[in-house]
Amino acid sequence: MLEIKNVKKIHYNKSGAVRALNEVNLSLGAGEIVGLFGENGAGKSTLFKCILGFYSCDGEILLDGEKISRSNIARFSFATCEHSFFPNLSPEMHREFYQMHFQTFREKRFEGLMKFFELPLNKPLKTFSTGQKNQFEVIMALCQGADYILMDEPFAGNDVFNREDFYKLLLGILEPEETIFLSTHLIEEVEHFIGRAVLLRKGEIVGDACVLALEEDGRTLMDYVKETYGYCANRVSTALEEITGKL
Amino acid sequence: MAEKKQGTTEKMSKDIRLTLSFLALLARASIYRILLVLAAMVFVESALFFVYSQKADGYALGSNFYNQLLFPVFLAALGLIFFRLMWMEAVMSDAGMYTLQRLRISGSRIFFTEAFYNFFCLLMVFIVQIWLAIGMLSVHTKDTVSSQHLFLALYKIEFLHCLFPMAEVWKWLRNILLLLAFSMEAACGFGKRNYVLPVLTFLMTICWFISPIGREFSDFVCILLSVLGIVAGLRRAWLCRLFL
Repeated sequence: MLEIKNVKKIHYNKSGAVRALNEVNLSLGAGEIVGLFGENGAGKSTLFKCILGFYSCDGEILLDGEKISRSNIARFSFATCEHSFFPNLSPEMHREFYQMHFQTFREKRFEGLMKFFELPLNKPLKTFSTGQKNQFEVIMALCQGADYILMDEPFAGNDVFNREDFYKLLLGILEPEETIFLSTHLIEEVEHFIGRAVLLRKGEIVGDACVLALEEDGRTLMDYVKETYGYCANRVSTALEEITGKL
Repeated sequence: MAEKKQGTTEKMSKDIRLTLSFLALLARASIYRILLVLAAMVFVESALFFVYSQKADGYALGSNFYNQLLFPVFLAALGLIFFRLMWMEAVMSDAGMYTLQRLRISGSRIFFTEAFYNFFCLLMVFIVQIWLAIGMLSVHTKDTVSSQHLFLALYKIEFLHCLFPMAEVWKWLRNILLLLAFSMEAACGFGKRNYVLPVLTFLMTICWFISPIGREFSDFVCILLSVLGIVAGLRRAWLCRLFL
C-alpha cells in the first residue's frame, strides 16, 4: 500500500513561491490501475517526483508503512516523457544494467515488448525517434519488476494505434500485485484501462472516483472530469464571438 | 557472529558488483571515442615525427620538436577527452538522473566512480604520451633507448620532464592534483555555473604545463587551482549524497 499523507510542496522560482502540492492525501493499493488527471501545471509530475524522493516535500509518503529510501526505492519504477535512460547506450546494454541492479527484472516481458514495438536491440537510444524513445521508456518501467509503476505522460508522441494496442497488451501482461499510477491527458483513451481516476487541480485533489461506479451511473470519465473542473461548454463559441465579432 | 560476518561480506561484494556495473556503463558510453582520440594522437604525433626526423640529424630533433609540436597535440587530445567526459556526464546525469536516483548505490559513490573512470581515461593520455615519446627517442637514436639516454632526455626536454618529472616531487604532486582536478570537474559535468573552473584549469594547463625544472610560481598556481577543482568536486559529492 502506498500512502500519501498531507503532502505539500512549494517551488521557489524568480517570481516567488509557487504552491505545487497542497495537502495531498491518497492511498494506492496493490494491483490498482489509477489514472491521474489534471491540467498542465496541476502538480501531477511534482507528485510523482515527491513519491520517488526526487523532490523533498512536507508530509509523509509511506510504502507498506515504511518511508521511501534506497532500501525500498527499487519497488518503484518510473516512465516519464522527460526520459530516464542513457541515450548513448543501446537497449541491450540497458537490459544488462537493469538485470544487475534490479533483481526482479522481467526478462521475458522485456523481450516480448521489444518485439511488440519492433525496437532494435543494439542501436544507441539517441538514434531512436521520439515515439520509440517513449516506448522504450515504458518498457523499462514495466520490466524493472517494480510493484508500483509510475508513468508520467508516457505516450506523448506515440501514434493512436500503438497506444491502443499497448493498453490491451498491458492489461494482459500485468501481474495482480503490480500497481500502475498513470498521468495522462488522454482521458478517453485510458478510460477502459484504468480502474480509478484521481483528479488534481492547482496542487489539490479535487476528485477521486471508481471508473466502474461512474459507468454504473451512466457517466463517462470525461463527463466526470468536466463536471469536477466546472468545464464551461459554451467557452469556444464565446471566444469565437469575441475574436471574429460574429454571432 | 559468523552469519553476521558472512552477511557483511555478501553486502560488500554486492556493492562492489553494482559499482562495477556502473563503471561498465560509463565505459560503454565513452571508451571507444576516447580510444579514437588516443589513436588520433598517436597517428598525428607519429606523422610529425616521421616528417621532422627526415629533416633533422642526430640530436637536432630535440626540445623544440617535443615542446612546440608534440605538446599542442598532447593538449588537444587531453582537452578533447576532458571535455568529452564532461559532456558525457552532463548527458548521463540529465537523461539518466531518474534511473541513477533509483539505484541502490549512493549518489556519492556514483560521483566517485565517475571520477575514478575519468582519472583512468586522462591517465591513459599521459601514459600513451610518455610511451610514444620514449618510442620516438628510441627510433631516432636507431637503437634501443639506453637508461642514460632516457635519463638525459627526461631532464633536457622540458615537455618530457613535465610529463615524467623524475625526482621532482613538486611536479609529480602538481600532475597528480591536476589529473584529480580534471577527473572531479569532469564528474561534475557541464552546467550553467559549472564551466568556469574546468575552463580555467584547462587554460592553466595550456599556459603553465611546461615549466622549467625547480619550484616555479606557475607550479604553485597550478596546484592551487587544482586543489580548488578537487574541493569543488568534493562539494558536489557531498551534495550528491544529500540529493541522489
